[in-house]
Amino acid sequence: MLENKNKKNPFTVPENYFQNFNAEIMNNLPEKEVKKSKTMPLWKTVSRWVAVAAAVTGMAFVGMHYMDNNTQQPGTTADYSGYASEDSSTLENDYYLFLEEDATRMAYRDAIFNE
Amino acid sequence: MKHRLLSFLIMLVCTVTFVSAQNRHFDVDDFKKKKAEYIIKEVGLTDAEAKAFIPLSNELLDKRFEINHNIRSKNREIREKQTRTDADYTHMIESSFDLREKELQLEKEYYQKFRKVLSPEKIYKFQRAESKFMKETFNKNGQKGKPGRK
Repeated sequence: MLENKNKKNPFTVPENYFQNFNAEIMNNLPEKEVKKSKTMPLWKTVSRWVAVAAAVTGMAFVGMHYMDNNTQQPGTTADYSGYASEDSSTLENDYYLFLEEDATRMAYRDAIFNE
Repeated sequence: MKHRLLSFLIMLVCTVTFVSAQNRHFDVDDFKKKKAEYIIKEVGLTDAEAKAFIPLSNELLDKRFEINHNIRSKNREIREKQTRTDADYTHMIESSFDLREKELQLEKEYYQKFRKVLSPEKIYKFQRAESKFMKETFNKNGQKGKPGRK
């Protein structure tokens, strides 16, 4: 084994193999396909949502107008003749608020007197 | 396409919910009817007592509402003003005193009418039952939640 110490390395590499290694690899790679992204104008994107928002808003107004015209429910015979200047929905709302305040006052009173 | 349709449907549902929430009606007659049924049951009113007493009780409620409503309307006008004067603030403060005074007068007046129809024990039971009904109807029992509104 020691006799073989001075023998030459039988393996060789071509000249400038490692210097040119990176360049060779890069040259042999297939060409990258540059995908062109679809450019859509901003106004087209925005206009779709504007159209949807306009449709929804329109439906909301129609719905509110329809409900305003149909406030008198069947069976509601409450006499609001003394409140001619106000519409029944405002009066109903006021009556509700009045009763709710009453309920709060009663709850407070009962809590104070521990009933 | 499916994503857009879903977004549109969600917006539609939200809109309808919003609109219906703004226009919920409170049926006063229905409230009075339920209250009457509750009072008759809790106090143990006879048919004759119920026939005489319930209209009086509703009359008192309507008159109290009328006083409240007049004062509330005026105060609402003041609150909607861009700038309020000292006179406006004074009016709002003093109107609350007036309201309490007028309500008390009205209750005393109707208490005399109630005495002609019911015994003192039943009048007292009516006051307790009314308080309980109101608290239950408007969720004032210390529980959170939306009151009984249609």
